[in-house]
Amino acid sequence: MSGLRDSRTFAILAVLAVLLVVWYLAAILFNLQPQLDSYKRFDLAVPALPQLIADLWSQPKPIVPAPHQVLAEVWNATIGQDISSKRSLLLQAGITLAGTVLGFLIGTALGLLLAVYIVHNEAANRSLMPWIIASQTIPILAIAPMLVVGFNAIGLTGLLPKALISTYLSFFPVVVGMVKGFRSPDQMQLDLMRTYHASRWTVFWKLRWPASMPFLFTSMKVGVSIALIGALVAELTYTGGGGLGVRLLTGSYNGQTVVMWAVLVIAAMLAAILVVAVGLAERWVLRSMGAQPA
Amino acid sequence: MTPEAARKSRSYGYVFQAPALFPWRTIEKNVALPLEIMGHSAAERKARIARTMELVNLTGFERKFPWQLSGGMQQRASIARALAFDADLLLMDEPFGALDEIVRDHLNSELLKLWARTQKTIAFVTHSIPEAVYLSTKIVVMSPRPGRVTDIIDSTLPADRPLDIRESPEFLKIAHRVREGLRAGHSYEEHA
Repeated sequence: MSGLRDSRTFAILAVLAVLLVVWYLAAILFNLQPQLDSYKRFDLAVPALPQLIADLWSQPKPIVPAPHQVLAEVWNATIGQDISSKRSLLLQAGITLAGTVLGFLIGTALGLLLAVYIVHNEAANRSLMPWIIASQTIPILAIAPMLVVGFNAIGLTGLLPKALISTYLSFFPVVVGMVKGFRSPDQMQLDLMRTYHASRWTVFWKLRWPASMPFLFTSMKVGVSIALIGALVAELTYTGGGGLGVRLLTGSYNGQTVVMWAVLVIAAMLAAILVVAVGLAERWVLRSMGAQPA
Repeated sequence: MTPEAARKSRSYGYVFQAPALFPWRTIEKNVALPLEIMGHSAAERKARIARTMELVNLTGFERKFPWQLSGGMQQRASIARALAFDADLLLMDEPFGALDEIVRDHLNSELLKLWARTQKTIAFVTHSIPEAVYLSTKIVVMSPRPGRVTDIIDSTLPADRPLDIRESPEFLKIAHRVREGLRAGHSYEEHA
């Protein structure tokens, strides 16, 4: 019994069970008034409780759809749908994924370059960091449309503008994390390199870079999930290319709450897959660097 | 020669208070670090690693990561690293300060053997009087703040020093003189 209670799976399932209960209760609470209004409109008597709950959990356009409605929509829009169809959320998720990954890769590279520059140049350290932090205080929802319109004006369309919104978000944790990571070697290790009369370049490759690996992966985990948010926001702004964000927008125009929730679930799964992928890369790299098994 | 010029010509190997090994490198890769930086060929590196690992009695631990070794072994690895590139001078800054007495004794006698084999000049900083007397042919006693030389003692102990030489009258006489020198340099102000 204690084995079961200590297991991680049990812990996750327990939380999931609580969430489902809360969700189903919310579906009753939020959908009750519209349901009662609809009975009244059609001159129907309010049915007995089991029927009432069944009605509340199966509205076509509920305020809060029940979990099984969302899961059914997820199923229908992925497995139950031809992948080439525009209604396929797999196709849309693929479009969003492409933007996310491209933006994340550019963002990580940009973040690394900035961190290297900041660590090696005192002027850059003082002048760049405040601007980098300021860049993140601008609401992405406000700046995304302007960037997309701006990119459009100079002939940049399609995947790249969207990816650049992801880049705008995802470079930040990489800069901050890697500046710290590159500075993580202790004074003794730096002194050691000094006694070898090692160049800055050598100190960077032999000491700062390997020492910063744990920081890199932590930053990348944050970066990849906000890159996804960037791609979704970009799609809300520029609907021409499709993607999960566009489905979210059309769902909201048409009051298809079930579709919107299904999109959210798929976006969440996408984020989880991306973070797990970075986590696996982390395990592999750190293990090959002799990390002590936990 | 200025300290700057000595550093630039890589004429000393340095052993710190702590091993300062790079945790992502195996022991042999740690020893190889200065060799890589100074541009020795792979074959040369291999030969030197084998030689220095043997000198510090770590043969067989080449592929281990630092966390897999005890503190004393890690410090020996860092000595191997300082020896690997054959600098003229070996500087040791309280290298065994963080280790327990038994390990320290062991490493001290190992260091004497190492010195006998390599005949390298070693400058060794320590706060321990017995360690200073046991290891040295010349002891420089320094005062703290301001750091001044208060005494220079040429050891009369023979080159071959078993651990129990530390109980001999001759040893104790030198130790006493070192202590006197330290006391002369120290001014313990009661109300500092």
